[in-house]
Amino acid sequence: MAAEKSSIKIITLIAADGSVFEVEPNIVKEMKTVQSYIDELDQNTVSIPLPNVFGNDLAMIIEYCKKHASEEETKEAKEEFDFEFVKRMKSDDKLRLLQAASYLNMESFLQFMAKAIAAEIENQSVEFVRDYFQIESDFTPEEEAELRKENEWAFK
Amino acid sequence: MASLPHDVLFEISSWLPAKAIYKFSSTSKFFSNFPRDKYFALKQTQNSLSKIDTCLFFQPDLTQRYNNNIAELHHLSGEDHSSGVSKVFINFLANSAKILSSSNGLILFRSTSDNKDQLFISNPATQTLLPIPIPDQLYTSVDADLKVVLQCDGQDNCMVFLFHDKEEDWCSNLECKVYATKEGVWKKKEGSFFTGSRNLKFDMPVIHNGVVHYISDCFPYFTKDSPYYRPYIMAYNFENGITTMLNVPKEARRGLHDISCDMRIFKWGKVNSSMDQSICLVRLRKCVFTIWVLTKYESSVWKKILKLRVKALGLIEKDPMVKGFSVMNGDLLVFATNKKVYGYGLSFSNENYMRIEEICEHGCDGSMVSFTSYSNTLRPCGGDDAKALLLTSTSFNEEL
Repeated sequence: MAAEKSSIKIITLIAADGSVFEVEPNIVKEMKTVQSYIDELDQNTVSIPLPNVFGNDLAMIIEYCKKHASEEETKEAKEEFDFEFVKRMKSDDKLRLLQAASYLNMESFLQFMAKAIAAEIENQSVEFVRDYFQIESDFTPEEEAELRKENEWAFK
Repeated sequence: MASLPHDVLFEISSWLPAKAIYKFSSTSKFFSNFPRDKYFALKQTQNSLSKIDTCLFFQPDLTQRYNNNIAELHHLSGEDHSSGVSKVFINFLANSAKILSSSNGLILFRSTSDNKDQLFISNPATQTLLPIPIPDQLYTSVDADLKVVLQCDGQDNCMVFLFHDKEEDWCSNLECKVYATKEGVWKKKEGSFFTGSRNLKFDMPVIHNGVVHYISDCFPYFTKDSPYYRPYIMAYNFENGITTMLNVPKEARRGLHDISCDMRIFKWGKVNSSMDQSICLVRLRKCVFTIWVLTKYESSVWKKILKLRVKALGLIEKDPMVKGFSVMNGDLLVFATNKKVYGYGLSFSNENYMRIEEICEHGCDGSMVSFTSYSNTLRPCGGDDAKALLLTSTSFNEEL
């Protein structure tokens, strides 16, 4: 383990808005982007700037990581936590956290957020999804009409 | 905010049910590729393994070659229509198919059409079908029910297990054959399945840790000194071909001789939850459900978790009769009355825990019904996809 080799005690993460978070090495294990930083350095303390993640979001991600890294928490408690974690978020929060997860290269958190977003959009319309993801249709009206006809059953 | 990169959209979409993926294919050209993208289909299938089944198929509980021209698909939570299959496919099932088994997005059905007696593995969402020939030697009894079960665990292989009488042997030993879609042939398994002297309920298999379990009937046709006086569960290990016998809970054996008594076993434990996977036994007797969970497999130790009087549930119907029941997703008791289907949560992780919920109305009025749990995926029918047929293609119509 890289963390043991360099005996790092505390890692300082600096968010885009300048807010500072001090965490233990096991908390950032899942953040591959951060981990690769640490692996390159051989110091006792490290501070890492994360210019693509805002403080509020980073706080939430750290909260999630802490809960899931804890060995004292039961599976039930983690399950309950995940449920509440998603419940208190707005659509925009989810998208921002997903992008942060993508930037930090956090595989399981990325999946967790993707699943939450999928659950939010699955009952929505095509127009809603375009708006939500800021996607412009690149179909001609004829192409789109044909596709909709072909998959008519999926709109019912 | 800038629009999301494609790999992130790919990830999100892979968590959608198949129907929503078809719907959103009109979003943009990038989205329109998903239903045809093999890599995407495998990822979506993989993801769906950690989600609960959201739909159930409904057919009358009759012999396999007869379905009364009824097939219905219902959703577990009434409002959610993001998963489902095309009406064309449901009509096709009603006209010519009886669903026998279901596994992670695919169903196994038997054709009810007079022309050809055949099995099919099918993905109802993509409307693809893979014909599976019935082994020749079984054709001597065309109208007999087949003892088959479908299992799709891995990414793109599926297995059909079939038990049948040995030609030279009419007693309680059955031979097991397996058909892997990747290989495309029936192969005999070493080790025959010893069923004991009672009839096993082959239409409700429970696969748990690579072992298939069947519960016996409970009719009082044995004397007390018979080893099969009590009902039992027989288990066949697909890996080593060994049969083992499990006892039913002591308490469940009481009052068995009541004609209304019906015992069934199901998978216990919701996927992606903290629940341990096991087997549960549901007994229905005089309109009372009693449910036990197997807590120690090797020594057949059961724990009673619930007793539920149907008449005390406050259903609007007068004198509700239970016409069929099942446990779905490892923690939801589903049962049908003459007209309606209800759900009752059996664990903390179910949102209807200890609460009755009306799921839907159904059209199998009067007859007994069977449910098949179904998850909405893009999973290929297995093996050589080129052999799979599209429901709408002409080659398929020639096949039936």
